[in-house]
Amino acid sequence: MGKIPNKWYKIVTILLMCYTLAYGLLLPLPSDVGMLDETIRNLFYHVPMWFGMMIILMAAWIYSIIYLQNQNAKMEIYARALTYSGILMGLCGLFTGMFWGYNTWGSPWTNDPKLNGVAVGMCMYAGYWLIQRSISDDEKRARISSVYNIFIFPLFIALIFVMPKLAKFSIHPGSGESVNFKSYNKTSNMEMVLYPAVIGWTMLFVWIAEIRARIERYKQQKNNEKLFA
Amino acid sequence: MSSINHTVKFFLQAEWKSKFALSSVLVHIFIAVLITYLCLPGMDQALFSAFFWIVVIFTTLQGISKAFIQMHKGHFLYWHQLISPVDFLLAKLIANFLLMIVFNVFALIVFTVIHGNVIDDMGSFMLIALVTGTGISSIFTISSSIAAKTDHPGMLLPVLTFPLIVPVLLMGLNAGKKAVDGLGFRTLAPELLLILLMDILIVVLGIILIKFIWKD
Repeated sequence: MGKIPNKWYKIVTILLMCYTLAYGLLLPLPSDVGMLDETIRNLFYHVPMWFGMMIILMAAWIYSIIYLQNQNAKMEIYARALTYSGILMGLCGLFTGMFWGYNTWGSPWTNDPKLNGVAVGMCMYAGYWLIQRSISDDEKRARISSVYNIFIFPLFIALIFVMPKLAKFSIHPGSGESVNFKSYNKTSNMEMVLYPAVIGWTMLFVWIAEIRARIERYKQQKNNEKLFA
Repeated sequence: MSSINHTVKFFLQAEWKSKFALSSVLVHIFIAVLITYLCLPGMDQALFSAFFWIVVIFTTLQGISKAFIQMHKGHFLYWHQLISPVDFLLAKLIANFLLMIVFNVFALIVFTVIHGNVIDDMGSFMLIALVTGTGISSIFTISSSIAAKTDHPGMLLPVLTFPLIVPVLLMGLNAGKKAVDGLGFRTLAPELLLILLMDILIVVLGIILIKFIWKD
C-alpha cells in the first residue's frame, strides 16, 4: 500500500463515488421488485459495504501474515489501518442494513443468521482493537495483534459464509429461499451501478486506511526523532 | 512424541495435585446448573441444548484457560528451554481436551440428575459434546495464550474468547438439539463433520501461530 502515488486513484475514486451516489438514486428500477420497492436501492450502499469489508479485511489479514514473516513494522501499520477501515466499513454496512430493515421488516434487528453472524464478527474485531489498546510494548503489540488477526479471519469467514448456508431459513434477501437480487434484475441495469459502487466504496475506504497509515508512520517517526535527539 | 506425552502427564498431575482448581470448576458447574433449575424448573427438550452449552462455556472458561493466564514470564522462559512451543501447545491442547471431557461429562450428569433425562439420543449427544468440546477447549487454550500476553489478561480473556467460539458453538448447539429430539444420527452427521473440520482448522492455526505468541 504505502503512499498512494497516483493522483488518478483519487480522481477515479471521487468520480465513482459521485456516480454511485447520484445514479444510484436516479436509476430507473426494474418494474417488478415487489415489496422491496425503492428500498432496493440499498443495494448500492449496503451490499458494497460488505463486499468491500471482505476485501479490506482480507488485505489486512495478508499484511498481518507478511508482518509475521519479515517483522517489518510498516506492514503491521498497514494491517492495522486496513483492519480499522474494515471495521468502519462493517459498521456502516450494519447501520445501513438496520435502517433498511427498519423500513422493510419493521424492526432494525431480526433473528437472522447473517445479522447475528456479523454482530459476533464485529465483536471479534472489537477484540482486535482491545488488544491494540492493552499492550504497551510496541513490538509485542504488533506481534500479538497480528497473531490475533490471523486467527480470527478464518473464523469470521466461517461465521458469515458457512453459518447462513447451514441455516434452514433466512429472511435476508439473497440467502436461503428468500428473494434475491438476481431474480429481480432481468434487465441487469442495476449491475451497472452495483459493480462501480463496490469498486468505488472499496477504493474510498482503502484511501482512508492509507491516510491513517501515513499519520501513524509520521507519529512513529516523530517519536523516534524524540528518542534519538 | 514422548516429550508431549510426558508434558501431558505433568499437566494432569499438577491438576490433580492442586485439587482446588478442578473442584472449584466442578462446584461452579453444579451451582450454575442449580441456578438454571431454580430459574426454570420445568426444562423441556427445546431448551436443554442451549442451557447446557451456556453453562458449559461460562463455567469452563476459567478452568481451561488458567494455565496460560497464571503463567509468569519466568515460567514461559523455563518451558522454552525444555520443550518446543509447538510441543507445549499440543500437550496443553491434549490436557485441556481431557479436562473438557471431565467437565462435559460432569455437567451432563448434573443436568440429567437435576432436570431429569430429556435427551432422546444420549450416545449422539455425548459424541457431539466431545467434538464440540474439543473445538471449544482448543479455542480457549489458544486465545488464552494470546490474552496472557496483554497487560490485562483477566479482563480481556472473555472478550477475546467468547466471540471466537460462536461458530463451533452454534453448530454444536444445532446438532445437540437434533440429538435431544432424537432425530437420528444421520441427520446430525453433516454438522458433526463440519465441527470436526473447524476443530482441525483451529488446531492447525494454533500450531502455526504459537511460536509467534511465545517469543518474548
